Amino acid sequence: MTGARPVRVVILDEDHVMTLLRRGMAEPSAENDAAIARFFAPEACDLGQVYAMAQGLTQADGVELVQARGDRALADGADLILFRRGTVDSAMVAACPGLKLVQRLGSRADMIDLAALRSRGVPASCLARPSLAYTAEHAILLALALAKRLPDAERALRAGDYDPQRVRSPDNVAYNWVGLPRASGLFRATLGIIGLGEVGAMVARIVQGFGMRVIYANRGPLPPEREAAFGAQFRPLDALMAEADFVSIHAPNTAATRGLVGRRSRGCSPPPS
Amino acid sequence: MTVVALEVDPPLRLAGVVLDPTTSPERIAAFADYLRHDLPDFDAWLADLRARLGGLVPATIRPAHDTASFHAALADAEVAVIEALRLGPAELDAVPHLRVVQQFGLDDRNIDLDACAARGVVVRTQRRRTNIAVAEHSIALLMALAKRLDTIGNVVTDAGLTAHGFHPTRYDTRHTAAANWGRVSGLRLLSGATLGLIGFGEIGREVARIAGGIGMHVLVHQRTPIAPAEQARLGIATASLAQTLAQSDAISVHVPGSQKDLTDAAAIARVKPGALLINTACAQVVNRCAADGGAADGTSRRRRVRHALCRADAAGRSAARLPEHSVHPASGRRCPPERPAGHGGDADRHRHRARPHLREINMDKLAARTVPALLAEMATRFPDRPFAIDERRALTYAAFQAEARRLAKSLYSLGVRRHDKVALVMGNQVEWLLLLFAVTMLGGVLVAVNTWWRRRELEHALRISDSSTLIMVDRYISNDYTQALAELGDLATALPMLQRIVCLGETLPPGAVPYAEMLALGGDVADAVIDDATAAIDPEDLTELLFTSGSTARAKAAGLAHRGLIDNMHGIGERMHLTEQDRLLLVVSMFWSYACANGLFAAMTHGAAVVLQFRYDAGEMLRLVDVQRCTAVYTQPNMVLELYAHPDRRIRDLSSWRTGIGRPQVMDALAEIGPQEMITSYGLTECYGNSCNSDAKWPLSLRKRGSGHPLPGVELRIADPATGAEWPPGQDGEIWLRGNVTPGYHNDPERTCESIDVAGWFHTGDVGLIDEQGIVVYRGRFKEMIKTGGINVTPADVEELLQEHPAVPQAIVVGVPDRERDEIVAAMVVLKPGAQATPAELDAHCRAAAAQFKVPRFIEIVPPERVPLTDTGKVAKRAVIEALTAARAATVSA
Repeated sequence: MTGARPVRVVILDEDHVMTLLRRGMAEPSAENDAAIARFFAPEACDLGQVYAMAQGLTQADGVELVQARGDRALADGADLILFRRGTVDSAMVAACPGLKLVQRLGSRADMIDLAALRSRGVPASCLARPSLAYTAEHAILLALALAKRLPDAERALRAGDYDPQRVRSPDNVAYNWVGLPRASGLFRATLGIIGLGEVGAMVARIVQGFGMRVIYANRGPLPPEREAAFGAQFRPLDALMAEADFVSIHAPNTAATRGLVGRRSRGCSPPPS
Repeated sequence: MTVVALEVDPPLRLAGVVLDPTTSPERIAAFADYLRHDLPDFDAWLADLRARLGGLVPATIRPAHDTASFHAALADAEVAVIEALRLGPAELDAVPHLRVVQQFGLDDRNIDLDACAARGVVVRTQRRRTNIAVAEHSIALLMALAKRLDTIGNVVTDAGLTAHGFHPTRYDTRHTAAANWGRVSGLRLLSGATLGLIGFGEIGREVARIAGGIGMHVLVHQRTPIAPAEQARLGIATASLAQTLAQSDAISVHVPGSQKDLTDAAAIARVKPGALLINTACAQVVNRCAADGGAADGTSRRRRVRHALCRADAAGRSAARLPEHSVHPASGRRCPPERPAGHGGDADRHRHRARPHLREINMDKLAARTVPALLAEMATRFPDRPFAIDERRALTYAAFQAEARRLAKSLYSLGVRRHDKVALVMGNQVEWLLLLFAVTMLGGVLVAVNTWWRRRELEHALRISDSSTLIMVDRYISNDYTQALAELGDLATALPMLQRIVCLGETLPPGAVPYAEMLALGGDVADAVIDDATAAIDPEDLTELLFTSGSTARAKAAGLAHRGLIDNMHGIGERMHLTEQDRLLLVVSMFWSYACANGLFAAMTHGAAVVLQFRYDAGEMLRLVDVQRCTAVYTQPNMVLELYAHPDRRIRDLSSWRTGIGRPQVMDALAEIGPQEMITSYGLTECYGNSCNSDAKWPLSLRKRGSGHPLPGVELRIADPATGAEWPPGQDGEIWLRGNVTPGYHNDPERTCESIDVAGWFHTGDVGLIDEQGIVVYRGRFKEMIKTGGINVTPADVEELLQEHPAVPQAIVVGVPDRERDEIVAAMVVLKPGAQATPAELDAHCRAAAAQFKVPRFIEIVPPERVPLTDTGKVAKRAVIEALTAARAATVSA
């Protein structure tokens, strides 16, 4: 790369994944090591692997890393734009004649002017975030655990709190040994999603496999094509609470959402079936 | 009346109950019972359903078991309901009336659709709710394993997480995300992972549908090939059984019950380590011994898979299927054929549990699963038997329970609540026990502080345990605790968690509540308050935090839970054959797990009494055995040597002393002192005291050979510490334990993770072997292995060698630093009272018997009292190394 113009990588907004990226691309140091390990805690992380991924991407390799911290003017002349929040519009694309890639953290692309990129032949990549998938799967786990009463069932089983006769009934047909009432399932039940953002959308996608019906409450209805993608129908919050068998909350934690689901809506859900 | 030909299948019989008025009352009653949990009012449900079925009721049901009876049933049938029976031209030609065929499921390969269409017979299929319920349940179990629901379910507060051994801390969100603040490791993402389905019938297909929605890759193995187009439509790939097992992160089994042991040892050996195995098919499909790793070849990778098992034979709607007990292998090694009577049956009866490392073993003799419940149970069964005896008082079970309850009310008034940590600094006296039970009645955790500790250790103990209450004596022997607290300065700064101090004695720390004053509190607390607090305790809640002797690092606080204390200690008591007639002398300090966990509960689970000796003294110990008629004593090797040499031994009546615990090397001395049924042990605080014991009824030769067999609730493995591979019998390796093992070190997740692996194995750092009779032999600490001139020497080997000399009851062998050979083998030797031997004689003895590299290069003979001991009475190896290094240097320079 000697003599060549450095590759300009611009991080538009600061974010913990971006910070990790920066640390991984920097020289290993005690401070960097500790920060990277903290990021992955409580899982153990292989620091060597993290640094190895940055091979060819460090300053020594001719990469210039720019932290714009929201200052869009710093994006000018970027070869690669990384961002999570904010927009990449046609003006920004135009200001970067050497642009080779726009990388977003998050699966949605609606904040990127894809037409402007397409006309220039520049690819955009949107990376689904595993932490959001963890959250979405966790919501499903909790719904299943409630529907199947898993903790109660497990406790009853461990306590030996069941009738052994029912385990080995004459036809070897055993069913609900501990006699747990009100166990149900997700199939054909209605899921109300409050906040159909990235996590909410993942939840909506997962429950399609379970054959659930999805309704959602947002500040306003989504465009019909996005609704269709999830098979989801918009409801005002109160209507959602009254109609849903399961409610899953994925609203962001802001002043506006504080107490969103509270006394007013509690008790509106139908009794568990 | 409509005539229905019905293939006989247990759930399909319900059709007869609904449609056919001639159905027997027994069958109707059986189904009412079968469905009673979901349909409490079966009759009303039946009436409603019949009304909705309109003209179909009443109908005549013609059962069909096989082709012949099917043909007969079809003769006048208009409707056929079938699942597997074939319906082709032969059948159709014989049935002029048939109008509708209802397939019980989606798979209609058994029906000749063209032939039906040609004859105008309507064929219907049906997506069965039962199959969907099983599929959902399979996914629920998979998710529960992947997300550790069994560990973290309902644990949503800092206090709750801490009580379960986690270390919840907020992240610095300026730098990192805020997720997983509970610091629960090992959570797995299913999206992107590979799910292997073994069997791809209707349930397998339902599972694939859901797994695809989650974003899993689905790999299918079944005997019938699936066309590529069909695979693409279903979003799956197919593979051989071996490939499916090897490539899957999770495996779910959906084959008919007729296939047995499908996942046998060979199959399990192919599975990725740590893969999840779900069985919602018939139990016998998975060979659970193999899944648990007890394969006969001895090389299997034990517990490669975590699995949840449940049955799915046939079911009604929305079945709540429950994980079935898993069978844990009792390998031949653990249950040798000569296993003495009284224990042979345990293995079979008690090896069932869904998670072997949380098995509940041998507990059918006790109802209680929590410590307060155990006290209540014993107070009911043995109200007038003595329980707690010290030099001042003797309390029966009933009296003890009443007093502990009053004390619980006092503590409640003071502010002690569920999950609160109450630190206790006190010598061996009945109050120690009363406080333990009072704290646990409130759901609190007793933090047992070492009475040998001084300011620095006390501060560490209170801080790392998050103790909010300290109950202390002002002084114990030479230790002044009031002074130690004063040296800590401002307590609000030094120990911010500490909210209150109760002090028994005359010199109180500032702000402390006098013990007598605390006892006066609580008169106004209702019984229901204590009852509610006790009822809220979960068997997996912590009971005690015990400090493991910190000879190498600062003491770690190991948590022990209610269930394990009862289960494991009951097992230990069984090995001693304790009954309510026994009296166990506890000379060892109460704060030590040997006493407050092991001895106390081994006795209590059998209705026996404990006799507390305030402080150790050999003469006093002999006196107590005599006057209190003790039948059991927990000993330490140094104690035994002192007892053996004590002049009072011959004037005391020790005839009551029958059993107890001692080290293998002092079993002969003990037998000579008196008790003929002493047992040996191997264990550590983190594993509920003992994990292995010999049995009191074994011959002495067998008992002193080692530490006996693992307890019923314990799995033991001799592992290559690097790879985890299991060593064959007779070979030294690291001892790994699973089963009754601490949930973790409090406030110390790093060292918890270092010690306990993801599969639940506790890596002890001890060297041991299993001999050809299945007896576990402890060989020393791993760190103590001596490396001399490139050869590894196990200290235990050389100790045995020296102890074969008739004059040597005790030898401690260590590695002493050496410039040329890294280390040399050195020995500290204690001689029998009155015996004579010189280092040169011992050297000759060793040379005659063993390889050159094992012969100690340096031997020092010392009197018994010069052997350095740790606080808990174990030999302090580090101090031995220092002493021998110094002695050797002096010899060389002289």
